[in-house]
Amino acid sequence: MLTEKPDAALHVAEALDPDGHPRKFSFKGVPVYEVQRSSERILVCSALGHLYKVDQVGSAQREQYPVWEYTWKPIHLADRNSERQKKWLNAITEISKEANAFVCACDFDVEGSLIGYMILKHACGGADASAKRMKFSTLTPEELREAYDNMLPHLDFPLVNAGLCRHEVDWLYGINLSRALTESARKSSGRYATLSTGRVQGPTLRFVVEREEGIETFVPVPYWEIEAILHINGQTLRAEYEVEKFEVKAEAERIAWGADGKEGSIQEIESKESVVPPPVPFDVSSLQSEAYRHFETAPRYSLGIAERLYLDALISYPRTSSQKLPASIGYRRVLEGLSKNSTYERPATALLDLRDLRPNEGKKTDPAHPAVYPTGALPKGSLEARESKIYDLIVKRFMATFGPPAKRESIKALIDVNGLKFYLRGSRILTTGWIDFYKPYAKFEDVYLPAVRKGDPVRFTSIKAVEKFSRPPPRYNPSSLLRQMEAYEIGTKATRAETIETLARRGYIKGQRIEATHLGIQIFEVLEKYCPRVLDVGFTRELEEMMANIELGKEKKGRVVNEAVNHLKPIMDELKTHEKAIGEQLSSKIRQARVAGLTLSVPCPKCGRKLQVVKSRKTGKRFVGCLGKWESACDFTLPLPQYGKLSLLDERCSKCGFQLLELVSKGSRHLVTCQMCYVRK
Amino acid sequence: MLMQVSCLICSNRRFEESEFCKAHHRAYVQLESSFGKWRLAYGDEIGRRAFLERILQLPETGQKAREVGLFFLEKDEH
Repeated sequence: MLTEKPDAALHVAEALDPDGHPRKFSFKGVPVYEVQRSSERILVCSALGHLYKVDQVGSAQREQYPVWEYTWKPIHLADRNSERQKKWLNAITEISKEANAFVCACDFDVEGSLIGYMILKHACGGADASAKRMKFSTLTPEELREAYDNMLPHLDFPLVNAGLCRHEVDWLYGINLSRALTESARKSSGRYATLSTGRVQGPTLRFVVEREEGIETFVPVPYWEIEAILHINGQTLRAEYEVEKFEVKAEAERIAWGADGKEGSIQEIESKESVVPPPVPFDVSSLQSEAYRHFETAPRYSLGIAERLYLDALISYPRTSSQKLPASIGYRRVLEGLSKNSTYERPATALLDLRDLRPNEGKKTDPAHPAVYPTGALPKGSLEARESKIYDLIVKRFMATFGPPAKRESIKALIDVNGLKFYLRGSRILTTGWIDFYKPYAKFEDVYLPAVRKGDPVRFTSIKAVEKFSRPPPRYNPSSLLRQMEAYEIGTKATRAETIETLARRGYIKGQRIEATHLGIQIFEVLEKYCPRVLDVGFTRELEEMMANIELGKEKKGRVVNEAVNHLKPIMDELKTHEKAIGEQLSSKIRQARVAGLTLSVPCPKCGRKLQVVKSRKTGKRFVGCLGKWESACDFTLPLPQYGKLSLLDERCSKCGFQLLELVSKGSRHLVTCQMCYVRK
Repeated sequence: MLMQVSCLICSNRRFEESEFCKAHHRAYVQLESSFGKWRLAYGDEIGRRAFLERILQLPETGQKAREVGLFFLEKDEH
């Protein structure tokens, strides 16, 4: 029996073992669990995510493109530093020789199905043809046992084919486009720099660059609002004029003068009650978006945390597009489980007291999994701070979907002054309903209106036309960019966050309020000029649709790959023809980006000139040096850690205001440091 | 005589028939269309120079638009 990750193997083995304590042994350094279930001896082992990947046929020559021939290879034959994967694959191959039946218990989605299929096919002697498939959405013992007792008779081949297609198409696009850019720049400058783009990266970069252009070229336009202040019962209130904005100054001033110093009266009071329905259950995008809104956790990290919670059997499978919670998940069972946790005891018990439990479901569906929900299992030990936050959000969201609707009252008082109409508005929550279950994440601020009656006289204490200016479009943040990708249906629920991270890693975008860098803009301009089809959101969306249809068994994998290749071939011809011009355009920006990446934004505290990360010719050690050294003999320097990848952050030190640096080294935590404080200490 | 091919503001290549690169050209187009809106908003109160001076003071003005505004102001002075 094969699972996707080692943690999942333990859960599966514990669930299937009659005593819940499977025998664990190490086979060639790989953990394996042995379960004796009636007459069956089951060996449960795991993959480490993907153990196979698409690669070119023959040995890699990175300067050659286009490349159209590809094959699937074990990861250790395609990538350096994959000894662990090699060990795992060899162990699985050995174990499989003893087996007379195979079960794929990888996550039930495109990636999980593909991981299982590739290993069963290539490492287990073609066992993909006979293997059975477990289908589950949580790693709880009950669901795993049920999945084992009701296994699908064969692998989910539509999902496997969709996975094969996605990986092959993405590889063809990624390798060819990225090599074309990288090689063009290398031939022009003589220096190597990794440049990349792809089927999803291109259109995503387009969103950011176009927004950047909108901000950079923005010219504000004036408009006026009427600001009318009045006092009623000792409360200062602001009334709105019936027209919100004026584009002409004279018109706004005419209104303000018309009401200034005149007495008016309350003409009408309108009160309306409205129902505020509970939120819908989380699909992966809304979970990422809400996590960013409340905790500023980047989508990729919140998904990673959710996956850890899933592997701890605390929540259901998070990579889902469903906003549905079918009754089969056992609402009462989950709530009973949650009620044993002191934090959720009261709200869970309150829901259990309801006669009819029915969630407020959203429209989105997923054929493989329900929406994200807590399993009701208690955490074994305390959760890490960030895990605890995401778990709390998921639990409360789940409970809120069952809560009764909230009721809200809106009051609008119409004021007539000299024939001009103004409004006072107020609102309050009458019945909190589901809001109580979703605190502190649901917030409604009451705006109280003092008691006013029809006919009450009103006189503004001040009224004026206030000049304002239109604002540029806001920058994307990781969450809003993800939503934009989702709205245009580019990428998948599982890969969108990763695409944004890749753009940042390549230096095309930066910051939490996402900004396109000069290099990102240049890459976009090159692609727009020589191969605009790479940036075409429409084609990417069409391809996504075709791949989604493979999952549903409505489309053939071969046809989609051919379609993608036919689209890509003329693009590659264009890129090859203009290689020299592209290289010239890119290499100057790469140089600028390299220098910008080494130049600090804070000036030298001694002479005010620029500071840069430099390397000593003598010792080879890096340090911060002042560029004034050659002009004014400034000798300011700061030491730097010698290990890890160094990057300059946009943030400043809260104590001294110096620019913060980040160091990333393999196998250790990211280090954010202020070298100025370090030296002073 | 060699034709000048770089933008009048930066060293980038000119955009089509424009005297500016693509980004500055787009900012220039924005500037021109916005001036029309400013004229409508303030009537005859505002001339082109005052408009340019005002937009340079506003934090909402984008960097490229600012550069184009400054370019025209300096050009007027000479």
